[in-house]
Amino acid sequence: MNPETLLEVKGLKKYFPVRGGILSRRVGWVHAVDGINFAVKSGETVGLVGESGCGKTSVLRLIMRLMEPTSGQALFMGRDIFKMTKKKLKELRSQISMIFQDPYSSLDPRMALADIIAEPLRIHGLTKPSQKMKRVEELLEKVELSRAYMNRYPHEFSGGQKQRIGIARALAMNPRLILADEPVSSLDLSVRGSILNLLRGLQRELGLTYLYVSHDLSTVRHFCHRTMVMYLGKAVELGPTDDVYSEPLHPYTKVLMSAIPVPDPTAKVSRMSLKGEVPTPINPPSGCRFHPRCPYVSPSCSEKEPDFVEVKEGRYVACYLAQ
Amino acid sequence: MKTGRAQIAWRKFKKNRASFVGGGILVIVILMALFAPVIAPEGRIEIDLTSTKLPPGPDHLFGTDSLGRDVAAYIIWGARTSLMVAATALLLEILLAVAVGAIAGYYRGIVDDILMRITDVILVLPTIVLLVVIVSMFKVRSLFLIAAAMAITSWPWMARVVRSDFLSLREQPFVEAARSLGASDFAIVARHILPNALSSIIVLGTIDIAWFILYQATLTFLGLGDPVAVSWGSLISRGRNYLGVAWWISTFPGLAIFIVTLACNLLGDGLRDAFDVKTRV
Amino acid sequence: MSRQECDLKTTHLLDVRELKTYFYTIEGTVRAVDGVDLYVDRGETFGLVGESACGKSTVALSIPRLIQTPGRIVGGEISFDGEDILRKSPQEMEKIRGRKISMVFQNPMSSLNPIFTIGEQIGEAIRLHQDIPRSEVNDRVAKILEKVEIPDPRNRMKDYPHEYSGGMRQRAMIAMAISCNPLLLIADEPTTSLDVTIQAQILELMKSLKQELNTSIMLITHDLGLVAELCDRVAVMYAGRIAECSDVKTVFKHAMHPYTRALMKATPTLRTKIEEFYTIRGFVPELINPPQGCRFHPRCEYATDICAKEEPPKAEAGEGHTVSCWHANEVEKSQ
Repeated sequence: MNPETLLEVKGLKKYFPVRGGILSRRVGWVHAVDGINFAVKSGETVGLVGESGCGKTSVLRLIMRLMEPTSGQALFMGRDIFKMTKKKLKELRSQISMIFQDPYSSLDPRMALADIIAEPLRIHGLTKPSQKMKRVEELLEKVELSRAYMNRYPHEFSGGQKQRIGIARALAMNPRLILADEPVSSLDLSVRGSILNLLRGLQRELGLTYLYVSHDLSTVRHFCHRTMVMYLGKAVELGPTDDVYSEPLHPYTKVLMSAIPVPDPTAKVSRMSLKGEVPTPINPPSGCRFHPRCPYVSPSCSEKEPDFVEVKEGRYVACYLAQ
Repeated sequence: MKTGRAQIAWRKFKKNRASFVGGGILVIVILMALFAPVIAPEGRIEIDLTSTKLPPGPDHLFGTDSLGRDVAAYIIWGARTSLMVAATALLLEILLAVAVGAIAGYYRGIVDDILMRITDVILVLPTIVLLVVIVSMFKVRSLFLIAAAMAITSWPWMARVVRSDFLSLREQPFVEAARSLGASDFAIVARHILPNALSSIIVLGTIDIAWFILYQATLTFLGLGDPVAVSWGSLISRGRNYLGVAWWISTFPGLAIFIVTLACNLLGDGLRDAFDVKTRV
Repeated sequence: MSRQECDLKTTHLLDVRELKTYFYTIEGTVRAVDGVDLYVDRGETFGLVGESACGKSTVALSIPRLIQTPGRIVGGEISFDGEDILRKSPQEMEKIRGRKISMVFQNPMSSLNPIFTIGEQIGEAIRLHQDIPRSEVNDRVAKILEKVEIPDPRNRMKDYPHEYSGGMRQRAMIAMAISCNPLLLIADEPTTSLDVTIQAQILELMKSLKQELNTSIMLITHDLGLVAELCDRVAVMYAGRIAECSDVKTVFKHAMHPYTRALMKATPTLRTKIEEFYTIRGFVPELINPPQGCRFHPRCEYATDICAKEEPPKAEAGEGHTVSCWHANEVEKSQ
């Protein structure tokens, strides 16, 4: 049985112009996203991991069409998001919604809870107050917040509660796909679990699909069905989370896994050393982007970029060594 | 303990004695203006050539002017004029400034550049000169004309502040969130950005009222105001020739302007501190 | 010699007793640090762990007396290198900061002055505390930059902070902090804003500096992995108080405070896959109105009546192991 492909990204690129000089001429490009291909199946959670500058957050914003791509396609249920008219795009926004990283600034400080959650309802035409109220109550129940909070303002809530409000808002129009941009990174450790459990439960209950961006590899390990690793605007590895974590194929993935501090003082830590800094996406290295820092580098790596290919069932890598 | 933002602002404001006093004075002035007919019946500002230039005394608290009008009553009625003109000017100014600042700050790009060049031009010219030029272009001068002229010469400053608020607010995650929900630009500006920019507008507006009162008095002093209206400036102007003989004619209205201007400034300062999230007492 | 001075006699390099630092704000008094005891010996690395708003950063700032209004140290004693820190004059404190106690902060960009080069800033730190002729200062700076593994130090020291990457700026901050061979280095979330691979580099750097310099380090963080790899002893802080303190192995493997246990369970590891994320119900309390009795009791699965009424005293649970919990023994018995 082939689960429906909900989202398919093909050749997605986003370059930002770098301006310099008196006349603000373009002197270069920031290769924020440089040719990404992947697909997300209905009902699954795909994690996007990588360090700063890898482009993972830009990918989300492109899919949401909060930015225009330089080239490429993003097919949602078969239709290209980037070719949609304004009207269709607004409809799309009821099918795909976003959860943001910072609960403190992603809620309008001057709006009461009920208004924040009802906003998407209002935007998409559900204006009858009684209907709106009913739906808001339903949503509050789903995110386990008491109805008594309806008239309170964001600053009266804790970080975890604010994030629940953000989730309720994202669920308002019954979306198929939710893009989550580091939703628990700003929360305390003791609270993260409850939000992640909530998201999991909602996925089971409502058949949601998640695209989950994070730099925290430990959380992704337990939350995502599949994981894609990004480096400098490119996808370097993609596969079932268990496999990617226990048997990383790409050297960068291996380095990333070994870099995480181990919360066990008795464990032996064997860390792969990684030289140098994360290069800027303005002038990426030739050939394979990772080659200047790769512990397994060979001459062919600097000549031509390796393709992102499927080397085993469901496992994609962009590396000559692994192929 | 209620910790809403308004409550926090109120508490901070209360602690600032100076601005609290300033606010109090303004309230008194407003009440005075409202109840002018009751406190100073119209009769007292009618021309009475039998009691010209009387010094301050039990019958005339601040004396009378060269036409026999009671100075104190004149000041009370003058407060009405000043406040009405200032309020009208403020309203016009806010409308203009918010429109320009919002569009420039939200859309940026060429629109922003053009609008900012226009504001620059007006900012560069000295306000008083500009006012004099504008007002003197008209033969018939009404209070409304003066209010409009003042609004035209002062909107750029507020527009800049509104623009900078918009520039920073539009980058806020909650604005991006609204966009991701499908909200239109207009809805985002009206529902999300404008309410959050309100505090800057309030603070600036308070201080601008002081300027408007001052400018209006200056224009009338220079003879460019509405010749018929009861105004502090005209009283000061009339008392110029009698400074040695009847000092009270110019002095008391001058004092009134000074006090109200000071009160507005203190209030504005206090409001700014109260709204500033970074100051905690 | 008055009795007070005798009370501070201690063999530890840093000895903090009953420290209380409060912030007087419009909404009320925030009891950020409310009776904290801890000590750090020479050459050891001490971790202070806790979630946000538990007071750990306030402890870090209190020790070199960097607390500013509306905050104030309102009680307790701090003894450093045999001297009473709280009695020192501002001038004396200036001599201690940077020289005997130095700090590394979380965000290197805001701690480095953008208009001076890295070399100038490190040089200033050196010249402030040591009498070294100008000609030699540059040599010193280059040596320190080499020590923190900044490549091509002689040239890189002429760069400005914005020309450095995040990881390099943090190295520069560490260089500044160790430039005068301090007795105690306080690092407040030194790697939190860095990428994972860069964090690993800084972690390894700190490990090697630890071996080489014999500086005591106080590491403030919420990252338990960092603590496990770097620290000799750990104190777990919650809502302004120390919940538990012991050597690192005991805290991770044989914790006796329910909060410590919960933190360990809530920290995901890469190894074993978990089905349901562990969560501690409730949320971190506000320090204006902390809960009565034991501050953790509203969220604790072992809580009973006494926990809600009385604060548990600090109890000795073993060699160098202290816990503040009425039910520590019960916690110990349950796996």
